Amino acid sequence: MGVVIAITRADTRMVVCPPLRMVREGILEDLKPHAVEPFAEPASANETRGTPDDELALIRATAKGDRAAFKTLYDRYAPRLGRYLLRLLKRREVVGEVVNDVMLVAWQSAARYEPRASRLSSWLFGIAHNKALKAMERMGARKEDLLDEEATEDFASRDDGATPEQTAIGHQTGAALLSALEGLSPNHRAVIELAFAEDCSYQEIAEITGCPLNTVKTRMFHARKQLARLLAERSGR
Amino acid sequence: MTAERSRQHELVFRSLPFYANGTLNPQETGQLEAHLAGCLSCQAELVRWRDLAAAARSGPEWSPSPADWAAMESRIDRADGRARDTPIGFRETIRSWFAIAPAPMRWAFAAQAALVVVLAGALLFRPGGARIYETLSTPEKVAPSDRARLHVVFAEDATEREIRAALQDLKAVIVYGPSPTGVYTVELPFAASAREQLDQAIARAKANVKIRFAAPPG
Ligand SMILES: [Zn+2]
Repeated sequence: MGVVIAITRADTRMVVCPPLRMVREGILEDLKPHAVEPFAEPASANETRGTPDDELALIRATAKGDRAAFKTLYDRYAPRLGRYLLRLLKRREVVGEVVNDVMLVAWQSAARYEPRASRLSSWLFGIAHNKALKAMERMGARKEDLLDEEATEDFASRDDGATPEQTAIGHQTGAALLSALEGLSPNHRAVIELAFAEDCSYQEIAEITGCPLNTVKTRMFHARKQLARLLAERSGR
Repeated sequence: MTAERSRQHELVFRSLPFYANGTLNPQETGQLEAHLAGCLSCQAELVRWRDLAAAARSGPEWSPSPADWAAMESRIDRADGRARDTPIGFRETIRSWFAIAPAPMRWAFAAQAALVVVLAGALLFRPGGARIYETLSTPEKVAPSDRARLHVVFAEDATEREIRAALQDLKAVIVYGPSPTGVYTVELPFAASAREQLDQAIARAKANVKIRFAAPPG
């Protein structure tokens, strides 16, 4: 059983995504990742990047201090943001407070939301992502779990004679996969969650995490590789 | 495998998770499907991504409790208060009292505070009353005084005569208001330190059907 995938460690250049580095150095506010993201495709002048009209109206009303509109946004987004934060932070007791950290930024900065720059959901998840990183630091996460530096490994073999590292992955049950997901590092869990719990495109994940498009795809691949290792460990290989 | 096919395979292989979640654009989808039809490796990988997607979607969920929203409101009150350079709001006041109370008093105080919140809640969330809440951090734009004061909101259908009658009943005079959200600040004929008299006045105000809300400022 199992399909073999060849993996080559071809390139060990380090990639550090802007938000984390800048968050660490305290030079990035919660709202900046989209502004500094040079890799996402530019929006055309009148495009609102898929923010639904009713949500646009709600965030505009929120900008004017309309609490009923804000409550509607809260009811709509708090469960989604909370789910994302719970799966990254893994501590249910801190989720409510971090969700409120995110929504407080939304309340205070609603006027700065720019629909041509990002979807409302990406904007909120971008804030949540940064808050999650900060919360993990407060909770004493290990530095290596938070550092975004990872080799930009190419998974397809190249002609440079690098040694292929082979990873076997068989068919797995949902329960085993879910349990393995819990073992992923936060950065890997983040891309998986955004792709499959939130159905984000890779462009949106790039915006939310502040990473180049290629890094998003590479990170997805690494997440799969890490999962395969975890599954192999658990099945006693 | 030709170089072109190898390049195409790499491209498709990397894009499979986003094919699995349906977020590729039509052009990317077309290119991917053209390769996928003839590549067993990509087909197998797609199956695994779909399994993984299903697992991710079945992970733990979270939803906010009423206490989370209450905390949110408290924080936006505070944030707005800070932005407008005003004193801290009602809930925050309760919280800070609670924080500075000696430990043995806390449970007694918590019980009292819970009662206050329930009573205030009953007033705040009367039909048409939802907007009152934010006025609790409205700046006091009147000169300070050592007289007791109340924030009062009258019923929407209260006539001028009924308002006058309610004020006379409390022996109160309006010192500020209405605020943009309809709050009046009224002054009472006794010192701010006279807690018992203040409590009586509040009880009296609450008993008046033409007064929707009454509480000490701040
Ligand atoms: Zn292929």
